[in-house]
Amino acid sequence: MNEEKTSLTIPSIFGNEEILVETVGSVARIKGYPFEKVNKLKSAVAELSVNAIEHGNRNDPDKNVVMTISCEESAMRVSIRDYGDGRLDPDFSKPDIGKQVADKKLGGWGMYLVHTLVDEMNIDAVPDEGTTTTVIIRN
Amino acid sequence: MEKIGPVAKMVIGANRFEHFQVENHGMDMMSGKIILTVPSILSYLDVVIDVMETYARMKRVPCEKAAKLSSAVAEVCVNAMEHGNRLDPSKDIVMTMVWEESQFKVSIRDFGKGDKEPSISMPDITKQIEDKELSGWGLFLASRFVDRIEVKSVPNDGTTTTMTVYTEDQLNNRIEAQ
Repeated sequence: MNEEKTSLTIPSIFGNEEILVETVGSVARIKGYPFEKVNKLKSAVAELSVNAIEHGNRNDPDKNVVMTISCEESAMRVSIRDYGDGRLDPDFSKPDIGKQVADKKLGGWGMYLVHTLVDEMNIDAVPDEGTTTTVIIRN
Repeated sequence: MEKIGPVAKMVIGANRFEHFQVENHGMDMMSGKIILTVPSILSYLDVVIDVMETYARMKRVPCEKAAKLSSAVAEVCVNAMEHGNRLDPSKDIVMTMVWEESQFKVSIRDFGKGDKEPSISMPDITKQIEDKELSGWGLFLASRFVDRIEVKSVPNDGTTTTMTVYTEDQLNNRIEAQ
């Protein structure tokens, strides 16, 4: 099977992440991924899309979020790119819940959760150009 | 960095966006538009329809109008894949959606020859029965499902079909203006 590419561009308006989520779910469904895997991927994309809109593009509607989906023989690769400052310092490790409760400050759970929902995850951050997060699921 | 279960990798600073170039296809990439690009493979019709319906739901397009628009988009998209791009999977179909001033505009573009502008008028059913060859009904039906339809073919640059639905207020204003 040749690589099949789908892309979706949306302005950074809160709520538009739903379109990204439905798109990725729809592609995963037609490619025959199991229901559970599709749902986990949708949750991961929801989290990443909100991150891209809010933290990456700072809710600036003039900045787009671009999602590219590449379907190969045995894997599906989903990349989400924002056009923010690319200076995010994402951390995949599990936050220290005890410390966060003690400090009364919760945060940093998004990337950790995404990381647990997919088979592989990469983040490319380029200062002043933006951040691309790629997640991969395999069948 | 602690690794938990799946593979995780983080790269900061290197320019690693090469794999992520989205082909512009000459489309206006300005903000405010939702742009979906899919290969000309019939199963991707589901993706096109799902995305269109999701956006219509978000913008509270009335159910009946959204359902009709959905049928129109399906007809136009199949035309674009089959007749425009000749089911060549390396050729894309681009759907652009814009919501502005209570009108919802959906364009479907192919990258075929664009040498023959399709007709949206009603085909001659009697002649088609005599000739035992039925065709040309898709675009006619699509035109009945939306408030406005425009087809533009550019030789060697493909065909773009733009469908518009108006909200009730917009529709009333247009009727009054006529």
